[in-house]
Amino acid sequence: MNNNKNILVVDDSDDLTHVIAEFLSIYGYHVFTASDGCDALEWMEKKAVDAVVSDIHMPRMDGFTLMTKIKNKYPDTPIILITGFSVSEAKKMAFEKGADAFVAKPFHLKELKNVIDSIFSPLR
Amino acid sequence: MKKTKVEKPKTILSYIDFTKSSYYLVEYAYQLSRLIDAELFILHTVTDIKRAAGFYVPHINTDKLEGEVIQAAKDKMYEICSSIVGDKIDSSHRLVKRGSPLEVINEVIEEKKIELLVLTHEISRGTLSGFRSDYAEKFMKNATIPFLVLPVK
Repeated sequence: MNNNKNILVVDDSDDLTHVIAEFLSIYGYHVFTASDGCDALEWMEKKAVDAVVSDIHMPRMDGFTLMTKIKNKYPDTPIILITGFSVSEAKKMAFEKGADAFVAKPFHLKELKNVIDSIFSPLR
Repeated sequence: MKKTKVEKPKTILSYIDFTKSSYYLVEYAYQLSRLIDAELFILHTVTDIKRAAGFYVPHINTDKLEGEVIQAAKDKMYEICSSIVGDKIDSSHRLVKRGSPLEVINEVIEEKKIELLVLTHEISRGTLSGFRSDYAEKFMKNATIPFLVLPVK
């Protein structure tokens, strides 16, 4: 069980964030959701977040901008970026900008969970 | 004064939300079912994403992903039950259904002719707590059958 880990999932697709929240909660994660980067930063002011899963393409503030702001203010918070657009280019840019992991859409939920688990693995 | 005849419940439903107390709840409900020789059903619900959102904007993979959630919930249900009582609670008594806890609990009560509900009132954290929290209290307000609320362990 991952009872002490708070995960913030950021995506402008409500149905997707809910599905991810439901899935990760089965494995003991506490999941909070935000619909864009601005919303996510507001969450992080209020809650201790152990990891962020964020889409890249979102209104108001995209995933790259969000990641830069998080890395400046919360440098120890791992960030996993997800996207379905220009995957190879986005992946390269994600790691250049400091992402801890990258998951391409469409993905299996188990795949995302494994990536999150590995972020918290003591062997990492 | 008319006397009420109390009989042993023949069917028990236990609702678990996969919080830590779920293990204790399954163990308690199982022991109780043995004690009074009742048939035990264990229930978990997964959020109906389309209804929860109030409207539905189709996502390319949502249906497929929901299928993964349901399978994960079934696996988790099996893991919890088998860790407590081995294979004593078979798959037809381990129920995973889509919908809000309160609605589904009442549907199962009717469908399985449940006579006693056993649950806890532990409140999960996170986004889903809005859908799941206080289900014990909500059920209590319009209870259709006797129920037992266990303290959180």
